[in-house]
Amino acid sequence: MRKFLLFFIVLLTAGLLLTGCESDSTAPEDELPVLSDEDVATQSGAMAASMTQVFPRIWEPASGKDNGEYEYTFPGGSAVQGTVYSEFRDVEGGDLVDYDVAGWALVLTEDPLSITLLDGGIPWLLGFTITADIDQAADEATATGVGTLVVGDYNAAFTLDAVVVEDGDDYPASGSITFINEGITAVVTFDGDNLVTVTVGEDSWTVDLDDGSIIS
Amino acid sequence: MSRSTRSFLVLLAVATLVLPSAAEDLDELLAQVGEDYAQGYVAPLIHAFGANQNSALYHTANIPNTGFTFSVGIKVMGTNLNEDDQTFRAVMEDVELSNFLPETHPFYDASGDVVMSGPTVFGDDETPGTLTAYAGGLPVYQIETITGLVDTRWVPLAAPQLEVGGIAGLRASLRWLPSMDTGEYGETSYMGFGASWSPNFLLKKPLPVDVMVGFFTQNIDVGDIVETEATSIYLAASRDFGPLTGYAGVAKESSSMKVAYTFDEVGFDPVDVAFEVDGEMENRLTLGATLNAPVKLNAEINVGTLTVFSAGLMFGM
Repeated sequence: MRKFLLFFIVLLTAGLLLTGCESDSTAPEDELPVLSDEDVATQSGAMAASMTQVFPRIWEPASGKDNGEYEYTFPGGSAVQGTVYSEFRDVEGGDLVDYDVAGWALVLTEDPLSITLLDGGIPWLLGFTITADIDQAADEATATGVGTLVVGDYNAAFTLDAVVVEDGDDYPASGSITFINEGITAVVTFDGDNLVTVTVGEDSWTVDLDDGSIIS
Repeated sequence: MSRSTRSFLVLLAVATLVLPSAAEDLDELLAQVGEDYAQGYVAPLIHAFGANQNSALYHTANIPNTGFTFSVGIKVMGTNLNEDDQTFRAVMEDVELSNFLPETHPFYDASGDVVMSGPTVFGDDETPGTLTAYAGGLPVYQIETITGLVDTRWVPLAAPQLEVGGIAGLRASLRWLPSMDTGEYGETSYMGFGASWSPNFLLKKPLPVDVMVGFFTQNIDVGDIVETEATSIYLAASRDFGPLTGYAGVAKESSSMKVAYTFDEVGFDPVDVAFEVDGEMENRLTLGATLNAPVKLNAEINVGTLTVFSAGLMFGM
């Protein structure tokens, strides 16, 4: 009887230990192709060009207003498709107010925007949450925030750093966006016109914000 | 017909019926993708199936030398897949995109990378995978591929087994199912045989445990779509504790699966696809116990590259 119990205990213990042995994975899980610095620069340029179409929503959120909360849907046929939501308050955490008297704004996506830049290419997905301190007297808003960009199988993230958007201007006056994909960091620096500098390490490119293309 | 015999026949019927139906569904899914995608998609099936085949080959190392013995029953096995095996990603770098893009696509003549990802055959059966072509690091083309066949982390198999022995320490084993014609998908068949030998009867002083060596080889063909082969060579030991028998063993094994189908997708000429992949499981440790009653009921765990659980019910002497 004692031997039987000893055997049973040994068997049970061994069984419990072995049941914790998980199968190894057998399905392939290849690494994604390595991106080049220029690939990431191109992606960041496209992101910046798309965000340039979003920034005006800080000053003109949408047609029709509803107590400080607005939504804007990009027109059909444009390279950017989807809806942007915004809300305006007198100060951060304060009361909802109309956009033309607000001191603070929140602009975000609930579903990612779809960006189609390449002829025959597949849409990229752009999502973000931006907050902006608005100086109505100076017609300036300073935006910060974070976002993501899905480019096929790649997932990039970006951060806005003091991007200054002036009322009525098509392009940010200053500030930068830091864009990271597969460990490669690109910095997009705005200077008030349609041409921005994208820097990756010691290399730099010029991007046209009108279409996101690399000029040089 | 006794109740136990009737239950045994029902289990056999279920195991037999499931295989052809699953093969038809698998063929319909694979017809939509090329060989490169298919290999990643069915990888967990290939490796788990071979591991299952080489399981539940014995339930004791005791081979009596008392005269003819005969038993028949059923063995059931299940491989518990790693969670990562429900998805896959396969990448082809620097390839001609004309093999993947429609002729009218602006990047048809370009070269680039292709990323295939999504559920495996045991993954999400509602969400399809994708095949994405890249040129210059940017995605230029993407199509939806196929869903998983069944969303599960358990890969089962059942096998009827017959054993005869009891002379000179030998025992022969047979796994067999009658061939079934599945129509356009060909015949389904299951055939396997093996033998074990125990030297205990030669020893004047018995060992504290029964020991045996053995081998088993088997083939399962599921229509013209899947052909499998599995072989195992094992060394096992067991000891009786009253009505219970505890057993353990080690084995060297091999397995392989051939997959054949016709890739027939809109926009591409039909292509006959065939490939063969070897199973990853090459060694295993087995630990099990058998309850010796009017019938022999056993359960065991097999540990190697994959973890396989199995059980058996044998009637006879």
